Amino acid sequence: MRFYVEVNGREREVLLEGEGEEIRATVDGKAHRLVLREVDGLGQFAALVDGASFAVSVDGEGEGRLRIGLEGEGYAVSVEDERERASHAAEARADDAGPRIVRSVIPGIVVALLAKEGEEVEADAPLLLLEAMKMQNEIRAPAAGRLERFHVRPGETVGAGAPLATLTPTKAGIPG
Amino acid sequence: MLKKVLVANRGEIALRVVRTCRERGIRTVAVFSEADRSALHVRFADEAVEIGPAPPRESYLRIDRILEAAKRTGADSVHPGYGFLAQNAEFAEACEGAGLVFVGPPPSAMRAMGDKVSSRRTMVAAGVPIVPGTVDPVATPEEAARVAEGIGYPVALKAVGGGGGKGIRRVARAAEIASSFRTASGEAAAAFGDGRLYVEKYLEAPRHVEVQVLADAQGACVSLGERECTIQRRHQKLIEETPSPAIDEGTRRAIEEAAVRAAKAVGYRNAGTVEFLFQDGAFHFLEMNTRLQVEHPVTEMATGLDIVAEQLRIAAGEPLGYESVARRGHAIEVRVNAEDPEAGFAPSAGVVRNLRLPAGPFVRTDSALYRGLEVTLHYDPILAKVIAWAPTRAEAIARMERALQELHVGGVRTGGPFALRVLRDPAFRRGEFDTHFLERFAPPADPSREEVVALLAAAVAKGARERLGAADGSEREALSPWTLLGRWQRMRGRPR
Repeated sequence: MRFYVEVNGREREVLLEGEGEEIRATVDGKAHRLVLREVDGLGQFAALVDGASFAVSVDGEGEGRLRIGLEGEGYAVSVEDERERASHAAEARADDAGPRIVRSVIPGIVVALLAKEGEEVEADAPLLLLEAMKMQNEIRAPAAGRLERFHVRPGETVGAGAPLATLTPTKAGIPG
Repeated sequence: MLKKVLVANRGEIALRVVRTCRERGIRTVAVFSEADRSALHVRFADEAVEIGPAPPRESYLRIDRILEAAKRTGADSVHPGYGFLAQNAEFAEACEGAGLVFVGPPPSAMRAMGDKVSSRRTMVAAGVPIVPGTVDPVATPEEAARVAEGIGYPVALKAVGGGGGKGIRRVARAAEIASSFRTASGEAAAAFGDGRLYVEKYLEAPRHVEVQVLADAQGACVSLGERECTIQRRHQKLIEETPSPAIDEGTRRAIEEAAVRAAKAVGYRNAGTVEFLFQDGAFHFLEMNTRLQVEHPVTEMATGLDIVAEQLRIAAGEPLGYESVARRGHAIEVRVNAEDPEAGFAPSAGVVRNLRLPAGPFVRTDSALYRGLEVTLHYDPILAKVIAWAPTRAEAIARMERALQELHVGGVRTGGPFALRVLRDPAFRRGEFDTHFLERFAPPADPSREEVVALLAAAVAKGARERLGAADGSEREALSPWTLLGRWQRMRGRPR
């Protein structure tokens, strides 16, 4: 199986062969032997990489994103296999034309809505005000387009990744 | 001796107090909000009383409900922990009014130290050095300008009602002082209901050094040594250690004596911490925290004293029984907060399932973490404190590095990895830093493990696919909330 793995912003191609715990692998063409055992079903793994032993922590964060804990460091990782890569590319093309969801990157409390539903907004226009850590943050439009609707109301608490608004980007100027 | 202590707090500090009580044969009453029904401090206490909804204003800050819980359970005393009501003199008075022993200082001492102006005046009278500046607040921009000329720029305008780093404005030049005064005064009036300001010399590169004291009801007061808490971000301490690598024996004696004088000057009783700014070989009184502090364990590790046990003894009227306390080796603490260093330290919320806590020789973990804990935005972000002791500072740092490599808190982001990078910084290791250290601290990501991480991530993804393929519909459902596979698969659907 072929995977595309992005760690700290750099993508690597990982090829895996073998069933179950013992895996033959190449990372960007470099060969490795890996034994990976799940420990507790909660995200703890025991790994041997070319004989070196690691205590690995894995947390799924949705949409192919993982958080890997290794030796006290935390790594933000995204993983796609070949099939997902193809379908995400197709979705991305479709997304360019269709509505897009603006999400909160931090948990917080919605203070105020700064735009009107149904309104055309410029790229970077303030959409709403989110309070986190006693600081107010403006959430801005990722692209120019029509603000279809808000998913939140003032006073509401939102988690990281929560949908805030739906925006249909203006078609003009989008390549492909 | 106290027989039953109500712990008016939550999280790791409530558990910390409960643990000592149990060791001493003192019964405990936990109070808890709706959000904390399963919390460890509740489960490990002898009795527990629910006091309201999750927001602190409706539970942990409700003096009436806490006193009602004490009455109902027959508690004879209240330990406030830190935060919430710990420095609230009305609460201490209300406890005493209800016939409960407040495990903390007399309300008069809390008030004397709580007011910036009166505490500075008291310190000057007691011979405790303060930051050069006015003792009384200044009324006008002109007066502020006159004082600033006298002590030299840069100066700090400080709100009388501020504290903990809030309400401070740095003024670099005479030309700026009038407008700075007006805006700072307006902000202080809005934030603290008190627009008065005083003028102090602005220290450009201070260290934060504080002294732990214990004072008994008989008038004895003892220093347990200093703590270096200079590694902080927006006045939130991140790494604390004792002894301070910055001060020599003579300074140490002087700062400890000053702290004891400060405590005695306000008639202090119980455990308290006198905070100083230290720069160019001189220390200046900053404020006194009239409560147990988050970082008290480093002092416990170096002295072998259980400070909470001492608090309970003092509250029961027992004399300290010693005039000095020996210290040994070096202790260091790292606070593990629910926050995301990669997103400007934004608070992080979530459910903790994947948990691995450090242990091993001379490592102590004070935490209220458990699998299934939901971390919310209602409360203080401290999830855990990891404390390590060793004979020397270098060994204590190495031990802490080892401990943080064992720590994993999944489901939320924490500052653990960030702390690890600080510990590895050459300037930190040399002990060369000031309170601005973290503002400038931006180590590049270490790429040495990225290849291994990529490999592991792909293998985890492969395993998840194989298991999902093997599971039938009902199994998939059963797996879903609990396994990595399920969580991942469930969240992968892209909502449209």
